[in-house]
Amino acid sequence: MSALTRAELMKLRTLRSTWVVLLVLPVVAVVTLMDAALDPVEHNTRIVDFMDVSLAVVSVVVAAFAAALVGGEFVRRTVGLDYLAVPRRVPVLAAKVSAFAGVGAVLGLLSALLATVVAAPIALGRDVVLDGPGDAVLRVLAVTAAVAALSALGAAVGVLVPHPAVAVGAVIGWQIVEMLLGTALGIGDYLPIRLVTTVAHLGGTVPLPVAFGLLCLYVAGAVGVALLVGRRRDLA
Amino acid sequence: MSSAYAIEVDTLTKTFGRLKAVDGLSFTAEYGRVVGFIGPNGAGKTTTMRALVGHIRPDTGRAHVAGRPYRELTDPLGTVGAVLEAGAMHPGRSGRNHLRILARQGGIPARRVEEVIDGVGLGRAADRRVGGYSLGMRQRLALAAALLGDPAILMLDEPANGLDPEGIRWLREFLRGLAAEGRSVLVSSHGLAELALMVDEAVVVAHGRLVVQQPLAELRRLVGGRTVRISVPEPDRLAALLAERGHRVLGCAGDTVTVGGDDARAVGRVAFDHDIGVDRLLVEEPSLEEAYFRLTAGKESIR
Repeated sequence: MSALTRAELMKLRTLRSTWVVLLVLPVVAVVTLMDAALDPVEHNTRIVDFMDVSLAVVSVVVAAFAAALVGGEFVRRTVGLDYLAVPRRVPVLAAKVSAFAGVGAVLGLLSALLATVVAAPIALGRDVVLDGPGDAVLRVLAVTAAVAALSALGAAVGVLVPHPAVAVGAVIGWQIVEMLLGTALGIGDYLPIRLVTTVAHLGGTVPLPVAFGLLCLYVAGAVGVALLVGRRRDLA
Repeated sequence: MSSAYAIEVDTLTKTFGRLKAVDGLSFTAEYGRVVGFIGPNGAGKTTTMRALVGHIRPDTGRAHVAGRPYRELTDPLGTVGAVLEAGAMHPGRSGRNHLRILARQGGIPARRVEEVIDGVGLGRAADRRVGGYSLGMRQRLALAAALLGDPAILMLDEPANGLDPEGIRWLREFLRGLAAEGRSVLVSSHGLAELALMVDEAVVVAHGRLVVQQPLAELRRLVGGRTVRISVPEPDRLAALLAERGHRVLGCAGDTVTVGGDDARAVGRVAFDHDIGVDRLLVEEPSLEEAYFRLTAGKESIR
């Protein structure tokens, strides 16, 4: 891990909001999961079906958190201090994205583990297919990777939209855009947030490797554009 | 030190939309000197400083520190310390952590954080959240950040903002001390009276252009030199008598007559010879403020 990424992680560690998100979001994930799992109207047949809503909540909140903090660095101009320490901007911005991917991974892992632990006993009492140990591990890892990817995507949005409120708006607005595009063009399964669900389901309409590859492609594309824009932007 | 000049700005131009913020500006700053960067709001001071640290890209011209563009420095924090915005810190983070993060980014040992905290007199406040700091404390923290790498060049944009009189005095002595150690300090300020006590040299800018760059003493001479001020009960009579004897009477306001030059003895002698009582007699240097206003009034560039 580079010194820059460690510094970015230190930035996150020394903020109260990071700890609040780390503690609260897994709880929110569990609550939304239980809400779905205990709903007598729901007829989910697989344990992962319980996780869909909570996974969507976690993904969007993590992306919005990353977008807000990175966008905030431009409004507060603290990014200027980063550029004073390391004038080459691409490594600085890449370190931010990496740090948020790391935080996303931790949040994804915590949420997936908690969700699995909470969902299993509920599922046992109902006519629901439980994961085998292999699938359970793979699912936790897949969710971890997918949430990390969304967090990195959020950080890239923060660089592109250098204002916390507007950046969060862009992340939330994207959900609506994705729904509209999915409905109008029938490509919903190939868009980022839906791909997270597909990855968590270990495949669906889109096979797991393709879904994961596409998700990585979205992240790489967004990060690439963010680095290009951030590299040239004047801090006036 | 890879260049004779700590700071070199050469025909720097930067336009934002239709606004030309800096227009062919050139000046230099040497090591071991405190250089005042003076100009009204919108004169291009901050834009120039930002160009010097690579925060903005000039349209044309160059802005070098230690002989090269900032982005080519191998040890940026060890070469240049900059305070461009004292508010550029997260309010939820402690001052100490703010510095620790910067130290980590710049590869600076953590013990240096404690040294600069002591150096700027932040003390126990370093563990408090920055959101609870006064503007003066933020200025001190920003200065601590600038000093973290023990740089040979310092660029400070309005560092006296928010400091109380004691803080301003501390800053003045602090900057003079840094210059005495051979460092170059470029400092912009609206507090011209304060700058006068702080700087060796002034770079005066207006409308993004250089008006003049001169040592402070030379600048004062350039704008008219010293004056004698004499306060008497009969100022009009004394003014007439002085004019008769060839003195250059510059003005007569209230009970005070202002005379060009520094021959207070001759001025006093005229009053004494004509039995005019003298309440006060003093020789005055033109202030930096006067110099600045005289230089910028109706004269955009005298370079």
